[in-house]
Amino acid sequence: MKVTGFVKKGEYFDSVSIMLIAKQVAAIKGVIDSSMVMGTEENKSVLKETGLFIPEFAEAGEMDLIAVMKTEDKTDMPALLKSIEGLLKPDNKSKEDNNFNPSSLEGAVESLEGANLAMISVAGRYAGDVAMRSLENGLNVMLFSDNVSVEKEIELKKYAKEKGLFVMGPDCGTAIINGVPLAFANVVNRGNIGIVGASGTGLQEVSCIVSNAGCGVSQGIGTGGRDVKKDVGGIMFLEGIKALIADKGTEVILLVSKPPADEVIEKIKIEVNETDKPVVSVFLGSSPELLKGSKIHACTTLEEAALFAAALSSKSPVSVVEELFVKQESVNSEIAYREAAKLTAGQKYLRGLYSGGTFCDETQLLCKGKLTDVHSNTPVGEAKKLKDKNKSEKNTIIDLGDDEFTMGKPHPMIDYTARCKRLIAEAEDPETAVILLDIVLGYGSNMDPMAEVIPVFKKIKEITAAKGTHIPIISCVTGTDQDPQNRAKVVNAMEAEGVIVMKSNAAAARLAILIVDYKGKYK
Amino acid sequence: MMEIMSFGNQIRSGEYKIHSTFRSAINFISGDKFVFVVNESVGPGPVNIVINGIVPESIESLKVEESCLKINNVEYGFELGRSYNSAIGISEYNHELFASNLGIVEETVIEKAPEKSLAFLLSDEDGLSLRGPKTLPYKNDERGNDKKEEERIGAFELECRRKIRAGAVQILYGDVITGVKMIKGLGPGLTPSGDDFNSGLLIAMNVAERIEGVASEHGIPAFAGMKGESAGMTDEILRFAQNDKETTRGILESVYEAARGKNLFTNAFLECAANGNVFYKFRELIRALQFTNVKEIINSTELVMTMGETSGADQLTGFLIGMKRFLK
Repeated sequence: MKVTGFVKKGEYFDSVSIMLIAKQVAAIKGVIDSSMVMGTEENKSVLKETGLFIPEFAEAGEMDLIAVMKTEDKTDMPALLKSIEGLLKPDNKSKEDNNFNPSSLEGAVESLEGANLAMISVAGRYAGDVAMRSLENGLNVMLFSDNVSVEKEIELKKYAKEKGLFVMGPDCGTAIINGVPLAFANVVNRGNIGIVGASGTGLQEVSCIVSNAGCGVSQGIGTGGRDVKKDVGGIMFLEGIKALIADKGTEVILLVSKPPADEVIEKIKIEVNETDKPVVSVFLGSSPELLKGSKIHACTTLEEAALFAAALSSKSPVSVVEELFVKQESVNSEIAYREAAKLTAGQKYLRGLYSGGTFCDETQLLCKGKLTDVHSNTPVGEAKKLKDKNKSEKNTIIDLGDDEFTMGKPHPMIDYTARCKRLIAEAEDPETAVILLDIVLGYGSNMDPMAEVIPVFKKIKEITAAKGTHIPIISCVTGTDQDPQNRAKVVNAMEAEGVIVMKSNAAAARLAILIVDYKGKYK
Repeated sequence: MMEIMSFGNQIRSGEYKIHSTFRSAINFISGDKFVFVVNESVGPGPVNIVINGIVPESIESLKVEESCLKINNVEYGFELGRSYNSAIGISEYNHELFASNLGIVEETVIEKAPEKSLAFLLSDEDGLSLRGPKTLPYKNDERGNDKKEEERIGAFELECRRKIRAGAVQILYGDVITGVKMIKGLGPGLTPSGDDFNSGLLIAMNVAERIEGVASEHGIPAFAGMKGESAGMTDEILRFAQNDKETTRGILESVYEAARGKNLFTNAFLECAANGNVFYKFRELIRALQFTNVKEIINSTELVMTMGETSGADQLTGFLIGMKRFLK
């Protein structure tokens, strides 16, 4: 084994960069051990004690960075050092970068002629003011930031409405404007279906299903979940509907939301009466009675709404969708019977681990009438609140993207760490009958989700093999083949590990519920 | 013209030069004084200037005068409303509540701290936690199943952990200054983990000092007429309770002197901590500790942990062990 390394003098790297580079160095083939540390006397002393010290390090000062690697004898050292030097470059590169970084919003507006939308992602306490300044500069706003007060949201939206501008958000994670996916969004076909969504994951799911069905999206206008609640009164949801009614490229309007306030639903009904365009809605958890007497075709799942919109968009009879569901039910029944038969007596419960909050809600609602004792950290319908979000109780469906899990951490669509840990924990629980999860692709999400979850699926197989049991893993993959991650590639990789991948969350949830239901009835 | 969202109250006059540039900060230096020009994700701090949006690379010069600061020779007034007061504030103190809230912080750190941080010191088996047994948990020659651990985290990190654990035991049960010296400068990070730990310890000492101040001012029943030990104070703080402020400050200053090294960043942070000046994220946590709002305490703890890769979690570990030492 050889020890090599170098000292970087007069260049400074923030701790996050140092750690990331250290992680990359450790993964290089041939590297047995490595460290990247500041050259303090104490660190140098530890390097000596652990056999990782070479004479060059003696000259390193406390403000210098030491990089040290222990490698196999046959490692090509010059090549290794060159690749590590390469890793250390990007941080300083920005100084040489020719990209113009405007120092103010006004500077950005001046430098980019024709810009008409500001995407805002700053800490919540500043975001409202930045959004207002953007509106004052004539820009539409996509406000990705959360923690903006409801009062500020109302002020921004009223002002925007007066000026004929849009405020998408706060906490708006998804939009597709003029074919451009913004934030967490997918590369979908362009087409004639216009979507207004007060739910980010919901908007992603319907736009992907529409696109995978061969249809396309004209606009996907996000509003932020709070817009349709009583306080804000649906200001932007209604403006979105108006815009789609006026848009020549939109022939079918699709509305997506968790339950809007009753008075907002009334306003929506009035608004859509003004158009001849067909309108499809999915207001997850809302009573269908509220839409009675309106021209809105109300659906109960995101998949149903997307497929209805697709059928209307392609002028196909809507009965096609109903036929599709009948067929799907028959296939599900067969799979469920087969999977339920493999479960042991103690395996009784469903464990859903979601990164998309809307999916978590949708699955809980689909449990109604099928499963009892459903628990969640974000309960809806008949589900009960989990006593401890980190511990499943009976049938448990969790939103790992909820604030209580993500405060100060990346969203689970980006960082799979928390979910991977939980997947293992559920697999170790002898009461787990089915694991259900979502994989959300597209911009903003993890670019290589399979690198995160495939080792976990393998581990689950090891765990169950050691116990002589089997746990079916069922997943949906929200995305398209045009997404940077490529849906087909992801689906193939998951299926190769024995995961049952369904075309939508609703389909995946129905199958998972059916397995648990069959298990209870027939064994 | 860029907009200044806030400036720290510890920024000192001088003509500053760029020292280094990171993704979300430009670090300016004048002698041994730092000013950090940062974006909102970093947030306010004792010597931070928070500007709106991404830190522009076009900032080339910074001059701080008595009445204004000049960035690229453009003058910005010190508007009072934008001044960030970084001083630790203790307005209310209830011993039971505060101690229980510290327990919530500890649980959150144990659960959510990055793997490479010093939070391992707080786990029960290490016996250093707020709930842990008051026994010496570490034997210097105890190197049992280390081979596996070495393969997992590397020889350097394993040895650092061993030394830091020994230092933490000293801080908690033995001589604080010796412990601080054992820990300083150790570990990964631009500001080595051990240094972040020590600045957390200094913050804890300041908090304990202020708590005693509030307790004596308001005559909180938990303290009134009690000896230091029964009021939850150890000997060092008892000296303060006896109006021997010089001595208490003296201990804190000895810790500060022992913790200082030649790393300019570390020294800047240690100086702030020693003077009881903290980043906004930490100040909010200290504020939350005084009241009953579990969610806010958890959120604030998690927010502190967003500082650097492990810096926030390392500081919190030092803070919690410091609180255990100085506030029972």
